[in-house]
Amino acid sequence: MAHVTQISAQVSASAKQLLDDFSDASGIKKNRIVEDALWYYVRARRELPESAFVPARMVLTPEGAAAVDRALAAPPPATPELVRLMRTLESPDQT
Amino acid sequence: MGELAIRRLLPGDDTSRFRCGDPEYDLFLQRYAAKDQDRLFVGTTYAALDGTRVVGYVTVAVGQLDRDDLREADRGGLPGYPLPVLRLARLAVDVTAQGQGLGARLTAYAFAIALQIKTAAGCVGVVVDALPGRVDFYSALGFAELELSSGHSAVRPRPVAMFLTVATVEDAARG
Repeated sequence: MAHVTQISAQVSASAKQLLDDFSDASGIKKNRIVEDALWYYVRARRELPESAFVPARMVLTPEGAAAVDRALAAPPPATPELVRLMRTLESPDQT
Repeated sequence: MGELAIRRLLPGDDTSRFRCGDPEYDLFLQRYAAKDQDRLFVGTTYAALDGTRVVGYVTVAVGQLDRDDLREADRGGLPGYPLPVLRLARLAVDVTAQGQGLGARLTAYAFAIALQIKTAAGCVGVVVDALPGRVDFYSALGFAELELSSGHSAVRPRPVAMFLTVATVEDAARG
């Protein structure tokens, strides 16, 4: 059996929830998810420069969250420029 | 230049002659875009093609908006964070194709992807990393600046993160 050790880390509540939910849904143990994710993450960061990396998680400030909440509760109407833009709409390919 | 097709970037596409005026965006397309989507799965690039030559591209990635200031007990009535979004990370057009509306077509293409994701898996909005010179363009489309504490793009000059609800995009698509 490979040598194993234990780590602990403080993470956001939503990251913990994501880990719990994915583990429950997939049946994969949490230690395996964390270990695989770490390997993928480090490999990606080694192969890509910082500027090529697109952060998947964006954390809002309280003011930013309030603005998003307002926009979702009452979406702003489409501007004339947006309506014109969407007239050029084409269906994305499925490849 | 004939009719341009837009589709997912493929390994055989000619990116070698792409010049948009920003070497970093050229280098990203030529060196990293395919690697991103085919091996590391951190974003997908859609290319506008003149034959086999790439003359424009847009790179998108799924992402999420999160907030860490909210206790579970305070979540009642608020959206279910984290919120799924489509991030429009990069958009560039070759100098030979600039001024012909291709940037708008690529933007609309990204919006169409957001609408598809909303139906398939859920998506509340589009976040664009707008270069400082493009903020007015996206503001005119209805985007509002997004205040983030982390998760900024590392592109320099630092883009401005902006947000538009997918409901607004749907409203526009209905005309």
